[in-house]
Amino acid sequence: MAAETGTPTTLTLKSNDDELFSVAESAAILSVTIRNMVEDGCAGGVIPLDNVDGKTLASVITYMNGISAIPADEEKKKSYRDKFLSDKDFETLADMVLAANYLNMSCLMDAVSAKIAQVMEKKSVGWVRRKFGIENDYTPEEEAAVKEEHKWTFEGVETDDDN
Amino acid sequence: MEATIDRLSDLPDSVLTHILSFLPTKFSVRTSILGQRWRHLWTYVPNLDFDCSDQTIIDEVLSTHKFQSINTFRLSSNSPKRTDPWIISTWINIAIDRNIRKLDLCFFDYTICLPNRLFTCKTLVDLRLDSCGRIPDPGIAVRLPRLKKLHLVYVHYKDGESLANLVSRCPVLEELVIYLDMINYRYYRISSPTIKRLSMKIHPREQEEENHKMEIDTPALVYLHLVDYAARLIKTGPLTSLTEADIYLCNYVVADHYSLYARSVAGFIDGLHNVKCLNLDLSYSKE
Repeated sequence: MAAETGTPTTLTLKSNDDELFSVAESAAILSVTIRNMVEDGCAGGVIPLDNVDGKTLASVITYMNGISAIPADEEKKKSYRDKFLSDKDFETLADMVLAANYLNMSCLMDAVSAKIAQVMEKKSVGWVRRKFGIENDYTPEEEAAVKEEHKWTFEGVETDDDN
Repeated sequence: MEATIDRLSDLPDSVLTHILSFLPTKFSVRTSILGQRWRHLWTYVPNLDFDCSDQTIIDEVLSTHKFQSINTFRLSSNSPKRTDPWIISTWINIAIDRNIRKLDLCFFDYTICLPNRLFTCKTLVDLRLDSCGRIPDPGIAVRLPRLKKLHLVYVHYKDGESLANLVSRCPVLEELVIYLDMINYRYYRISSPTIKRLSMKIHPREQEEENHKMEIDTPALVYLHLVDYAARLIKTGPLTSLTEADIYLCNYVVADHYSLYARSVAGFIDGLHNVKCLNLDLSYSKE
């Protein structure tokens, strides 16, 4: 490991569509999943990440490199995260939250979850159902009852259905 | 992107509630309409965030809320409709009983009574009070062993030592934000070995002639934001860790005290010798 040899260690990560990526160990261990593999000595060759595709993994690695280059200053890290996520569409954010969850990266998970919440807040029920792949399994009577129970949450809310 | 959407619906409840935890409570409750699985999901979200002061709604949400702990409790209201201050105290007590970590109150109502036990809460990490509440006097037991962030924006203080006493009883405090309008402060002293970020905005209620004195003793400080319209004297301890500062000083010091004030400002600026990034505005001060 880096601490023992004094030279930076590079890990090779493999996406589920067989793309290979090199990343500094110091950046990659932001993922608890990867850190555990390194600590267990399973990181000698290629680390397969079965739940992340190449496009998403490339993006996650950009984040890993960017955030680990910032010294311990929470404000600067936060503004990096905001900038990093500012141009991502909903589908990309969805892929990122799945990847962050699988890789166990709490800082990315929080930032992406907050961004998804921000998008959801302004959208209609129909939009959220479509984007999350949620089947409406209420009967019309049940749906009316739930709506009545939480009537206050539908008051004064304006939504749009744009992507 | 159909594949992504299918996988999103497979996300475990813990991830979905995590996403919901970033929404105001009104919107997380609203997701109960999405489908059977979502009906009670919001009740497991550990954060409660209300932008209203409708008592019945908050009472109902608190009673249906299943989560054992409340991480964040945020209440804010701009509405002219007053909430019974005792009810707010009851809600805060419920939050303390559920191991609250972050409390954020913004009310524009100084009749709100903060329960004394809030100031001995062992779980509190982040406390933000805006235009409400009163900081107790040093006679009341105060100790916040885990508090890292403290924001006191135009709050009231029981007496002149309340602020210094509270800060000294927060052994791991890292971030302090204080807006003071000098209602009962002539001498303000911030002393903490742990604070890294300090933001102070101080102005007199009117153009007072009294002798306000500011003393800052924060050796671990890295960032300082200071807007001061009130001090007649500024005194600081060593600021050797300070690397970034935004300072705006404006004064109406009468001629009698001017040279003393000018010397204290010069001494203060002299102490900023390790600062790498400095914004200094003295343009509204006398020459």
